Amino acid sequence: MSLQKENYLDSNACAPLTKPVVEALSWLLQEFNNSNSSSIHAHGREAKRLISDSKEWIASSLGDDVDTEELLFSSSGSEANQTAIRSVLDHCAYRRWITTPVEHDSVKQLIDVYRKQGFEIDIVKVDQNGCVELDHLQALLERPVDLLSVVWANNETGVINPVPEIAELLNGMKDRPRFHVDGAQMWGKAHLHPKRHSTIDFLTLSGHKIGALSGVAVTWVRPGNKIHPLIFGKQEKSRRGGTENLMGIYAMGIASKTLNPELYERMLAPMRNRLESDLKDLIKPMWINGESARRIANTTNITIPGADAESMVLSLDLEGWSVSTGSACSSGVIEPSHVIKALGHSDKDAKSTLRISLHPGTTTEALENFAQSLSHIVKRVRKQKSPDFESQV
Amino acid sequence: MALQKDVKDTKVLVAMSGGVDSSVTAALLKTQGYQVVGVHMQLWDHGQANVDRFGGRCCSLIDSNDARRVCDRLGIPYYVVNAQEEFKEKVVDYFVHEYIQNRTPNPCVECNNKIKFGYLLDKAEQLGCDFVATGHYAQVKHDPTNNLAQMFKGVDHSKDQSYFLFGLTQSALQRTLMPLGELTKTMVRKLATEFDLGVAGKADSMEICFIADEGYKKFIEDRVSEDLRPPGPIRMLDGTQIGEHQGLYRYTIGQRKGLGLNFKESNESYYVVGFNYKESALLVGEEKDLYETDLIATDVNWLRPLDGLRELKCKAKIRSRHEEAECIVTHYENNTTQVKFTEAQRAITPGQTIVFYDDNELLGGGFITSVGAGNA
Repeated sequence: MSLQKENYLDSNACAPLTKPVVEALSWLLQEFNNSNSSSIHAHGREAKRLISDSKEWIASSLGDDVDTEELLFSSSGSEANQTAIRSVLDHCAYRRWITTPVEHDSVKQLIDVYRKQGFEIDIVKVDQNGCVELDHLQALLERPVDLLSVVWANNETGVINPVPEIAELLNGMKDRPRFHVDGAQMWGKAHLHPKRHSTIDFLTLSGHKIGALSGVAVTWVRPGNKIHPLIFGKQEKSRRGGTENLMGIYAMGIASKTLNPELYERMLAPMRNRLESDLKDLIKPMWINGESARRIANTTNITIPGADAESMVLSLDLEGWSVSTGSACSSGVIEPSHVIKALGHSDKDAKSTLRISLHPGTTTEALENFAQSLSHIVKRVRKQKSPDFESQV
Repeated sequence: MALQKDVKDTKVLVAMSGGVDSSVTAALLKTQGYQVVGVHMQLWDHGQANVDRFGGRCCSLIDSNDARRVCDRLGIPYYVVNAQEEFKEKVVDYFVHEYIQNRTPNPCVECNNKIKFGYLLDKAEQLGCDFVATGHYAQVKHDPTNNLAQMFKGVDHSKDQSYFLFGLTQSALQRTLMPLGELTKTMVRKLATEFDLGVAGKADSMEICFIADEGYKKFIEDRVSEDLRPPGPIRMLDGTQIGEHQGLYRYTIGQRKGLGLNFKESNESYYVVGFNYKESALLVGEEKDLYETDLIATDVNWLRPLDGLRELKCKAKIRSRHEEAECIVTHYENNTTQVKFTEAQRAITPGQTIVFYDDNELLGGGFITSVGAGNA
């Protein structure tokens, strides 16, 4: 079965490689003599040059006030998140961390770890879209806290958190916490200028979310913040040891050069909105999670009562469509999403939720076909479970 | 069965455990031209401990990985579905509950009825599949003349699993394929090698899949408070108390070991012949006390409709390792069945399943509720 791009609707899990990235990598694969950037000879210097070039391109994409010294490469968004968090919490004064109930799993995993170590961890309230409630955050900030971690755009619902407003809240605080922002799903979908918000300390970004290779990430670190390595070694100015993922870094650099948030929004928002309206016509009942909030242009997260998400995703896959649900654990079993539960939905509804995420290769025609397929599948799944479902609603 | 589709347009969901049998099942159906979908059911979460053990209990990551690799080799889709809740409720909780009710349960039967041919058939329908296939050693034959499906023993009688499949409804049978029923275990292992599936040498799993090393006694002790499984007296049939036991759940009818009794001068052995639930007493007797000719069974399922037949002569098996014995089955409207064996049978055990055969055809079966003729 050939894996078609038009039928791939799971961009938030991994975005397809962009054309500039593929071209640049082809050159790299064919022309470049793979080398270790730590080597003194000409080949090593060439490798180092590519890494530095990539850093410059990435820095530019984050604002002209960003310096290459402020960027730190790592292997993944998860590593980037955990490096930032641990750099603060392993060396902090108050042993108190505030975060949200809708964080990515790499952040969520550390909540239990630090709780077991006796840390006080406060989860700020979110509204029915999953957005941080600023009033509650303000109340929580009244006592001293070491770190605040907030995801900028939610990977499941696409909902955008009010990061600039939160940064403003921290501004002027006498003893403010470090502010860690997970920007993985926001990069490329909006202009990010982390340095302009004087209270953002860490911004983590991931390569495979912008159409570069998987296995590479970058963190913007505000000067004055110390990074404590997870892996010791001389690379990245002794902040992250290990031979660099040269191909990944180069791909990420190339991808960052060609980011165009306005174009992205213009291309994808109308298609996403049209898809949502088609689905609302074809499938009843159903609702869209985060619909009334500001969202990134490519994501739609829908709950379809009476239809098991596992059955829907598998059925769609059998027809060639790639979508997603909540998180999957290592055995491959689908578990209900903690994000959807945090919005106040039941386990049952969480288990009936799908995520569809578009990318620049998505076509209107494909989405029309997808809507028809999903509608037909939902009928079948609902009918099997409860033969009278349709007549009850 | 209205299926007139071409094989190439027919979707079959194969239940894949990661073992040899289900792997060969998938391979066979693929070569026959079906559209095969491999599905592994996550039934029980044994956690990390299992990853370290070779051929761990069912549902370890090793098994799932093995199944996945077989599907990679066959070039078919592979999914892991989450059946943990259903399995816990309908198989594991049932298992514990039966012991506490002093019945010896058969969880593999419940798993077949409720999970493999219940939950999984539902899932197959939701996914648009026409059939479910398993690696059971049993034969399912679809008779196009009368639209009925029948089940027969597998040709390899030493491996025949039809005993565990008596609970399948006619509707389930119509949507089931069991390609291994016509093969022997030896042939299947050979095929596994020929298909290059990588699992030919894997050992068969033997015990109950959800009980790890701890054994069923500890499994139950961990889940049931002591007051629900109290100790009590061991009595002879005439009422004489001759010892004490630590919980009726530890015993099964016909058991001789583990009674901890001091025998008198005689060379007699004592066997568990029954339970007095009210007084939590274990009843023991001699070998001859274990033999009965009659029993009552309920929840009897007939694979094919009986067409008003109330009494029939057939053979019945009361344990998977029991040799079928001739009997007369009288079937009553309230789904109760009276069974009278021509010759007395040893250790008829309430809770166990009784399965009826007509030669090699599996007619149906049910659960033994009481020993003796009783009032049906």
